Amino acid sequence: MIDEGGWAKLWVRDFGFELAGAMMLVGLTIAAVRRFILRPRIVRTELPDAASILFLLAVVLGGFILEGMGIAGGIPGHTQDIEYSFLGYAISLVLPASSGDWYDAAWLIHGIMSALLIAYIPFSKLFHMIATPIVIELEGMMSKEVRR
Amino acid sequence: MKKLDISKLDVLALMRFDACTRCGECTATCPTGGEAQDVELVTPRGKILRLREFYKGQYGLRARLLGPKYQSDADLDELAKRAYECTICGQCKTVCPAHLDTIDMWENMREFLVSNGLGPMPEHQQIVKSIENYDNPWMQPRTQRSRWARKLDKDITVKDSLKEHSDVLYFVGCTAAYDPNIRNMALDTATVLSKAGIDFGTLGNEEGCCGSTMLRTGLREQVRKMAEGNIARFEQAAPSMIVTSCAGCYKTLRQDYPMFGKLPAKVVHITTLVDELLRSGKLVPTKRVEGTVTFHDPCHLGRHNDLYDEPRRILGSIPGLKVVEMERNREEARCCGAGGGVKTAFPDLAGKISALRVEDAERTGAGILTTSCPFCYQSLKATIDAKGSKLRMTDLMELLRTSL
Repeated sequence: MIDEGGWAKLWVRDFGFELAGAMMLVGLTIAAVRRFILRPRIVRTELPDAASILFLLAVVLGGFILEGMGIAGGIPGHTQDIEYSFLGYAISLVLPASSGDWYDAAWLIHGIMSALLIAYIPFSKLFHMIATPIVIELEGMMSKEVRR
Repeated sequence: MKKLDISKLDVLALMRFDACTRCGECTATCPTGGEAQDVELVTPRGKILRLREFYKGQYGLRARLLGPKYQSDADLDELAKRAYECTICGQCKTVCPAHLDTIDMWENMREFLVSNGLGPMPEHQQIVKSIENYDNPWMQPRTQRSRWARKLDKDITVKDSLKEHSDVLYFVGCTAAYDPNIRNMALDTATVLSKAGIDFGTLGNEEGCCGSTMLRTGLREQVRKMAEGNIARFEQAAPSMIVTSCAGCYKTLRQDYPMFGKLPAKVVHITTLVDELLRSGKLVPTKRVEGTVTFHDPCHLGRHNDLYDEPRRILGSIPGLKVVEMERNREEARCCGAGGGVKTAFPDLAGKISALRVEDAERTGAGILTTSCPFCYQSLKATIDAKGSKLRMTDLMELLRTSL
């Protein structure tokens, strides 16, 4: 188990994950506003496009709510230095302590959704997260004179 | 309905299709899909998504679990037609945030279409037959290939490089050799080389079509014999440098020929050689050429070969000439509409794209529009004449020759 007061818990699991999640949230919000509200001409929204953003948003938001439930309910592992989980802590302020009763169920839902998201990647447009860096590297390795 | 043969789509090609993020950046600036006609399927994103849907429908996970989904002949024909409406200008490559080499993708896609009997377009067949029978796309006899040189000044010597060694081999290209309206491009190039004191020659009537048109339309394997023939003649001539004045020949010789055989000499475009000659003082433009000029970047020189500065330095060296840029220049230059077999198969579409480029040039206030590609020259000149524009179309070597 991770040491309750150790640096890994404070700076990686609490602060690091929160920061990464917050950055994803900002990016996904921008993407959602652009795709669903601003709708520039070049953006074409079909089911796979909407599903990718909404799926990611659900997982990221779910993570913050889960953290908030853990802190509000005083779940072990969420009782010390809780301000390092800055967004989860903020959410915990508006949640009742009884939300901790649902923590295990919420954790399971969040875990299953995260696993499904990872499984969805190869079959979705999100596969470009893997394919694009590989292609960029391969293109750079290929001589311009002999292309194929 | 048919089973698609995807053997022409290699791992890199398939990976590129998956790497497309569907962002749509390419759709706005695509000259055929975005600007000249608002058709999503012609845009890079449209083509990628449709082709991916087709081959995944037949070979993807769902196809393996539930059986393949075959597309109707009409759907396949539509994809092919739309794919051939692309000029392969490479504008999409410039704007693609995923840095996809879309130029290679479209040529590869056409090879795939050809291997499945879906390409090239019927209009291209006439050119293919002409190249196969006459070794040029203009249905002109081989014996007339070197006729252009008869109009050269008597003091200019063009060697027959197959009989007499020359330091530089000038690969004239079919269009400059046969098209009477473009012939001056060859004459001016030869004159400039002569004035610089270059020891140069040509392959005369033995020069074969480089095969650019066929390569751009997906007929790669059919070009092999032609390319090997030209390479054998290059080896026989054994020059230290092969120079082309045609941007299409330049791309083909430099980028495609190494797949068919090793070239015995470096391939350079005339603008690169002339730029070096100007900088070394071997060519000194002295006569003033009054006027304001704007340069159109041919796709095959610019986006395909990163050759942007040389033509501009040449123009800058001509006394009296004022050079102005079009709003879209260099990597962002609009296409002239003639490339990728579009002018042959879809002349109206090519005309629309060309009109946009002529309007770009007109907005600069320049009186002269110049370029360094015979196809761009043909396309832009036709539009200038058709719309009665005040622009004067010239080849870059013509401007330089006037100044020497």
